[in-house]
Amino acid sequence: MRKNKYELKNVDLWYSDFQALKDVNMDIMEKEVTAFIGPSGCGKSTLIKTLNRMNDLVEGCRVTGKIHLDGQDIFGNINVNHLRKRVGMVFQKPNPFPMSIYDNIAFGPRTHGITAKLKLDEIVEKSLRDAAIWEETKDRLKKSALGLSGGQQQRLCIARALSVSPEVLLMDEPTSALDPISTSKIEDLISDLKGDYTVIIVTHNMQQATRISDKTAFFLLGEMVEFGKTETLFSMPKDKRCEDYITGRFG
Amino acid sequence: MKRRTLKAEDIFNIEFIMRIVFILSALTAVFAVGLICFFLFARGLPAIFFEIGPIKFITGTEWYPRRVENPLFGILPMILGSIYVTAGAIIIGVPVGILTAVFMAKMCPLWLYRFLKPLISLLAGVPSVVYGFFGMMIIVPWLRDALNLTSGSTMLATSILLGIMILPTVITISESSLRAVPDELYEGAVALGASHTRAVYRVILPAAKSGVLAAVVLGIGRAIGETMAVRMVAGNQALMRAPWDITEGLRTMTTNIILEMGYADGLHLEALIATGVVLFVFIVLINVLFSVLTKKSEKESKFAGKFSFKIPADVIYGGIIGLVLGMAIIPNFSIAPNISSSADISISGAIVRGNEMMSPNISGTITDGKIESLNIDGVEIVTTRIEGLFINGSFVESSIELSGEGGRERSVMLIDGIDSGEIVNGEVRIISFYGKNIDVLIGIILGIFLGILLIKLITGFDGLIKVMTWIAAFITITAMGFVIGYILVRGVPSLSLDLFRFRYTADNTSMMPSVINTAIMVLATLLVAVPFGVGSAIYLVEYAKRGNKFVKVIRIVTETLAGIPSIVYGLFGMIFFVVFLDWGYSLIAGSFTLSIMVLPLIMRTTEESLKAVPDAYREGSFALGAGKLRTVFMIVLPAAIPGILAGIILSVGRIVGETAALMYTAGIAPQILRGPLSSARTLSVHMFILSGEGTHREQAHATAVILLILVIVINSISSFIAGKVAAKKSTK
Repeated sequence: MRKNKYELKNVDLWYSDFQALKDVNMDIMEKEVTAFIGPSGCGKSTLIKTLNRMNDLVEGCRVTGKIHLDGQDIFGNINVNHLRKRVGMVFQKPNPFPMSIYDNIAFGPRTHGITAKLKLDEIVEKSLRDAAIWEETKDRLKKSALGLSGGQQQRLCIARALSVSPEVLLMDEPTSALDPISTSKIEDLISDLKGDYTVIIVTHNMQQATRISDKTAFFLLGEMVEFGKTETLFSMPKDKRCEDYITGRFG
Repeated sequence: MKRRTLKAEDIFNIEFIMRIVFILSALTAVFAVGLICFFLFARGLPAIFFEIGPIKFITGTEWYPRRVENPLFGILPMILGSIYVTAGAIIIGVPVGILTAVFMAKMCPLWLYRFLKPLISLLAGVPSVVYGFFGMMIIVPWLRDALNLTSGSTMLATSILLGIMILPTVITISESSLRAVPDELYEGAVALGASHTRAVYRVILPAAKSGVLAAVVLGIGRAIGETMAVRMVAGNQALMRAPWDITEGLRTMTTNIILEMGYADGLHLEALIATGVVLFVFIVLINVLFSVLTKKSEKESKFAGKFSFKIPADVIYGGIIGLVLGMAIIPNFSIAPNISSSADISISGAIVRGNEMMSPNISGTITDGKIESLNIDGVEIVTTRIEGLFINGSFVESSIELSGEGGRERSVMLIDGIDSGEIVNGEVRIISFYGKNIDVLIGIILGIFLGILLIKLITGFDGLIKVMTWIAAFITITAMGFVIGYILVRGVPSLSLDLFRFRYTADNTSMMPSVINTAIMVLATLLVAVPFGVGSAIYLVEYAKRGNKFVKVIRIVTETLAGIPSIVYGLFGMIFFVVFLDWGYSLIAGSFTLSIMVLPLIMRTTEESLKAVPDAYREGSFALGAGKLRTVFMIVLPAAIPGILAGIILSVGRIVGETAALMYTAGIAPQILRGPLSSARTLSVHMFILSGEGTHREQAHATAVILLILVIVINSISSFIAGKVAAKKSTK
């Protein structure tokens, strides 16, 4: 029986005076793909960034309510760096570090204290294989990561996120900056990953959500309007606003 | 009808004439560099190649330019001197500077940043004489006392001073390149669980490497080209020094020129010009190296990571710890003098008694710190008081009161068997140093190794790195605060109304004439430099076709001009304007020299601000049927004015702070100048001359305050303009 990875209770979030999330309650199941959809500015990116506390970097950001990861309060007595090791993140725009492919992947494990060359080699290979980019990069590991194409860079960033063996993988519109072929590669990759990781993905693209996610949450103006099995949500939405949105009548 | 065609032709003519005018102004820059090169090389190279011999000149270790028989012109000591002090400045200034830049960009609380940022831009503008004076009054005596040296004017003092002087350059440029690193990289690192410190040092700093490298290269340029400050603290001995002779004085290429160009003639003068040529070549090499390095790192970031240039963070932290430890170790262990209080002394030397000098045999014993017996020519003398300081076995100053004979005697004595020591109230402290220099160096190196070791043992311990960053910032703030504080504390009480009288007399070294001369010098220089600078920038941006070869040449030439140290301009100005054109030491010789010096600055800033004017403005103007000239003057230039003004203000700062290029072009006459051909000292020159005269220290302090105020005024004007530019951009 699968258990809940994340439990969110009455989460409110403000950027200074602006309330970006309003009373969000949801349980996110482990080893599934959960998609967040909704129009721009609806709070879906904000929520995903809250799950590994990247919002801490934003000045004036305030969160109330409870977010539990495996039953543990992420705002409680927890090392935020350790939290981020457990909860990896892939960003909208690929952001490889300006160093070699190898060093990009090795950065995470090194950060967490792994220095043995053999172990690092192993992690680099495994991460790149898991991110389905090993074949393309194995001969150029020492070359700069900036020489890769956009799609390759994004898969490299996924590999980098996998390198610290996270339990959860947050993806903030990971394909929005990519061409269709790269997008389909990343989507295949996400499907492969879900047996081992809990994946939470923000996407603008509803087709993408239907293709890859098990559950979908629809957000509007900071509220979580509807959350359920992807098939159900897209075929029989309960909420009028959600229906309007997925049938394209919104806005 | 007839009239109309005439008018059109007129316009055509003006367009054509102005085009030529702009091309001509662009040519001036090329011409100026051409002139400098021609004069330097035409007069320097024959000396090197035909009269001295290139190998003898560059590898010669002895410099006796004015010896009647067999004068020697070896500049190796000076080449090495320049390299040593530059390396020293880099070792001291770069780690502190980079860490401070990291601090400012990523760790600094806002309230501190608001204070630190203006402080650093203020220090970037402080004239080098003021730094030199600070070094002379603070660093030199401190080193002398701390290390028990005969003189504190040493390689170490120069390196420390230059290290402080390059801080503003290194910090400003590193900081802006750190800020230019996209936030996504930081977020990427943090999302992997990296701490703030690790993300900053392992991702952001490496990502900013090309900017940081540029900062270091500019720092090198500033250190190697510095003249006046070095002259004031380096000791200036033209002697061969080893890298570890850090407690010895030395001479650099720049100071070699400034020290002797005032009286050199014939082959001597040519040898100095040749020194300028070597310096010039050094600067060009640094520029080339820099462009190669930046090109390589650009390529590397785009295509390959083969030469991944990592800033060895450990080395930086280790260096800092090492410096601190080294400084702590030096006085305690490494060169701690062996103090003993018993020794047999045999003294030979001279005793000056009144005007008479005697060379008796002196011998004596010192036991338990007391002079037991002192025999002069076999006669035992009972001393009642003996005081003095002896170093390397010879009394530097001493006075012995001999009982019976009454009077005090000054003596110059050599004492065998003892290195150094002092006698205070008859108490003798004998201090022997052996291999002092090596010890200081070993102390520092040991410290650095210990530091690196320590860091290596606890690598990954963010807290320590954080602490190091704070320490670096602290060092910067202290050093900078010390410079400013010293000037204010000593200078403000020295200010008096008498210093602002319109006449300079031997009794009242008034600075007012120099203030007025400075103002006139600024105006005279800008009068020449601004039209040519702006004109050539207009040509480059508005008229020249992109990718034009001539444009490339002008760019390279201006880059070269910008990198030349001011002493080379001074040398050129002296040879060309003062001697060749026979203008003598005069306002126009000085202002023309400075015009060439600030030309690249004005050109570059104008070019940038012209480029920033959107093309839509030009298109709009052309679409209304305006000609090129009208478009440039009515539309483009007005939009670019704030940027051009900023460049002019920067130039004003350089003119006000300049000394080396003015000493032997505008001369040092202390009165208000009477005409374009009369000699005039500016405030910085005035300050330099006063600081060289022991009796005018107070006035020098006061002058420093006024210079500082000028810099503050110039800085506030330029930040006001910068603010306007920014506001304009943001409203766009």
